Amino acid sequence: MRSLSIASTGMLAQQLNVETISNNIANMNTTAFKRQRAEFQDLLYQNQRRAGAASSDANTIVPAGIQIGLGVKAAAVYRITEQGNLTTTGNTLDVAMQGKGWFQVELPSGETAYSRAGSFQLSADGKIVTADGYTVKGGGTIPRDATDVTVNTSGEILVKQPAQTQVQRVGQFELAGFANDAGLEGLGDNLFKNTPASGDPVTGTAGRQGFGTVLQGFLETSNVNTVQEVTNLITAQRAYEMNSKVIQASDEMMGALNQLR
Amino acid sequence: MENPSYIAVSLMTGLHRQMDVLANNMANTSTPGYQGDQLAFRTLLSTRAGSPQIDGPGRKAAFVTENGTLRNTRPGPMERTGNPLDVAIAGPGYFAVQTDDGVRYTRHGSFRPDAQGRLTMGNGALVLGAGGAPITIPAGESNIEIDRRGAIASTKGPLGKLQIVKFEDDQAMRKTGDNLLETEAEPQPVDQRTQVAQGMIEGSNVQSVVEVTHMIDIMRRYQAVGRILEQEHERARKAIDKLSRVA
Repeated sequence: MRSLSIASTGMLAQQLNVETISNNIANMNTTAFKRQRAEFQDLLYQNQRRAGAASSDANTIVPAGIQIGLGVKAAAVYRITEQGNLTTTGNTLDVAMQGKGWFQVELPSGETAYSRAGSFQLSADGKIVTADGYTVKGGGTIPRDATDVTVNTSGEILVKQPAQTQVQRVGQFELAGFANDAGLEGLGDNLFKNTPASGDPVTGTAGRQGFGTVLQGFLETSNVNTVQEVTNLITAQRAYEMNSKVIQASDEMMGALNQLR
Repeated sequence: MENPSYIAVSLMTGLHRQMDVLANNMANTSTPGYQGDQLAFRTLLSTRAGSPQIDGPGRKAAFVTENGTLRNTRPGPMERTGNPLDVAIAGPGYFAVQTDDGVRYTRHGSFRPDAQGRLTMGNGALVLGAGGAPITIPAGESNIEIDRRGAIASTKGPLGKLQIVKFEDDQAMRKTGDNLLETEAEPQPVDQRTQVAQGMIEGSNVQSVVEVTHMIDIMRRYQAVGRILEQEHERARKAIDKLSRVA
């Protein structure tokens, strides 16, 4: 009986759906988290009687064939890169990206990762680093005696030192953009890596060449919509249950078969 | 003499298949653009049945056989995703996509650019534009707008138009998996009734209530046929018993 295995593919798919939703809900307060969505596709079909096949020698054809599908599979869990809300923190080194673009973060391995979580901090030697201490590209070094640090919309970092009247530019965030943001691979820790699906990074500065602007004192919140996630969770759970009912019904049919003499 | 049993078995086989089709519908309740299938039965009359001396309807045995799976083309529910490259078709029509095996059609409009910026479906099939060529989204493009006719534009100007087509007979299309449909029929342009909604996805059109009721019905009918088989067995046993006593 195929229906048993078909229903089990349905249950597996819904399990993945619930897992994706729970990860979204768990990350509803993660800075700049991009929600994910499980996408499903139907599996192969078995043609028992092909539509369009000749049904007689008088050129009559079968209008609708018999096709039996074999269930469902997960095609992708893709990221929805919709802009998250901006929340004010008042912190000088909290910067939010408004629009397209990623901050470039230098990993200890020497590779570059990409992040939109702009909750930056200062390292012991005055460098702008992420919460994990990884250097942010273009951040420059902030002098020890700097009194006022400003980040403007183009991502320039301007400082004022006690002895000077003019502000001094110490760096400018170097941003990266991708043809397909959804193709980036999540590394955890709010970091992403480019893949063949995302395309190579195109670097630039904020406010130019299609890049968004940088806002100081703000953070981008997670773009998870809890109401939507909870409704999705209910749907997924019910779909899971219904597939288990199919298994039960198939089992009962086989039971009836076994009772025949 | 075995005809009642054979007829019952023909129905049981059919019900098995019907359950398979139903299980596939249920498994695909979350598959975007999926259209549920229904198995249609027909009667197969066999004239060879019964005794040749008897004339009339009793001479023929009516076996059950499957006629075809019919795809339910009722529109599915619209679900908002907020993804600018998710598009749903309201009204009749399909998107045309290019796969390695040729042009296929789908109602699952969840597109994304590949590394070269070409618009693809999740499984790699290229989304075709109105001219029959893939649509390319330039790198670094952010504000993509798709209008109700399927024309794609960005801040840099128009990028192309989605190829949306319809067919005279929806049932002549075959499912090939991966949310795709194939057909030999000539595609026709859609009219004003067909519109495209950006940021939305058409969900599966499977109605769980209908399917569950259907499932119970299949299960009970199966059990009933089982009983017929059993009674037929009993009848045959008794007949053999009585006949042997007469002899």
